[in-house]
Amino acid sequence: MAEHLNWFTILLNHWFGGAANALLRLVHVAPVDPNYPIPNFVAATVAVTLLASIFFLWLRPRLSAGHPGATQQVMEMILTNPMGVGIRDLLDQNIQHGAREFLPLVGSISIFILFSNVISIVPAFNSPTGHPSVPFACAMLTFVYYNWTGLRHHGPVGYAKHFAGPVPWLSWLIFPVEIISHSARLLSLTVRLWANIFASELIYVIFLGLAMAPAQALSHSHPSFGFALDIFPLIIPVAFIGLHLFVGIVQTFVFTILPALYIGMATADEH
Amino acid sequence: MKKIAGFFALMMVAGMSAVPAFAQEAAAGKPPEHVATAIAIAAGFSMAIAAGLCGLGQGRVGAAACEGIARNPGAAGEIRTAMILGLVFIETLALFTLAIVFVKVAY
Repeated sequence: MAEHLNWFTILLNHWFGGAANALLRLVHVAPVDPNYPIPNFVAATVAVTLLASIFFLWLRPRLSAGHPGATQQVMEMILTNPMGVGIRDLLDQNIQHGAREFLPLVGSISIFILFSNVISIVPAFNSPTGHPSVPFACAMLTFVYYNWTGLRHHGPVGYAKHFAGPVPWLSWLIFPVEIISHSARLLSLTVRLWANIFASELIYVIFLGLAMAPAQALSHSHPSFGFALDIFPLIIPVAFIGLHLFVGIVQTFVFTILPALYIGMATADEH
Repeated sequence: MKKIAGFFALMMVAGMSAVPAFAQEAAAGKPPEHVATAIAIAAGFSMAIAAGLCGLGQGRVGAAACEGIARNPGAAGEIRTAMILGLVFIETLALFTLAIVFVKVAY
């Protein structure tokens, strides 16, 4: 079942198809369709990166400490807001010391996921996080990073002692359980983000189809009545676009607080 | 120096977005008819059980959060954050089931 390609994907394939095919040949991977080697989610990721870069490059010269504009105040709420759910707030709450130095990576992943989830509202794009590779990349980056910060903070032996549990005579039991539960974190980060975004997009498509079915069925026998019923596919799926927006924002929040929690637990000092 | 390091970190994160290009779809053979029927029935039942139990669990989280806010309205923000976190963890378990359904059901 070939997936439907968005016009932006076709445009990117037209411009960069040759280069993408050469890159895939270099790593001995055969594309599904050699005419369109760049799939939808890669094109959408490129779009997200481009849009976010252009937006923040536009915003940077307009930042001012004394006279913040409207955009600056809205964007600052992503970092810190009165509800305490900003990226910097979550880092400060969950990491005992040195929280600010983790802000660049956790913030970048968080903003990338926010923009990726929300871009599906634009009709030309499907959320790149709806394809399992993209959440896996974010989760893998988080996994490697929090283990690396733990290793850097405690040293290899000290970090391994973290997995041993509270008492030494139970460590033979707790060590494999901890290893499995840490691996489960990678899986759960991936599946949580992917399944939420994929399912909310799928529900939108299903209800669009359901709403369109009466109009389509009547359009042959009673064209004017079918035309009147065409109003429903315009109204009903809007609720599901709103649901997708809400789910996207909640999943971004969760994908921020969980790496903050994992980094906090990895760098925690017992006393 | 810090600026250069920050720029390289940014480029690495941007470069990471190219890694998904290497993931291509895998073609799978279709299972025989009776196995496909069994998979479909099992998928329906398993998703229903997962969704039902998830609903029960999330109901308890929601009820505890409401009670906590009713007793202590000043802590509403933190209680709300804890509630969202609890809901998301429980929902993840139901979504594991949905993921298996998507992986296994071929049509």
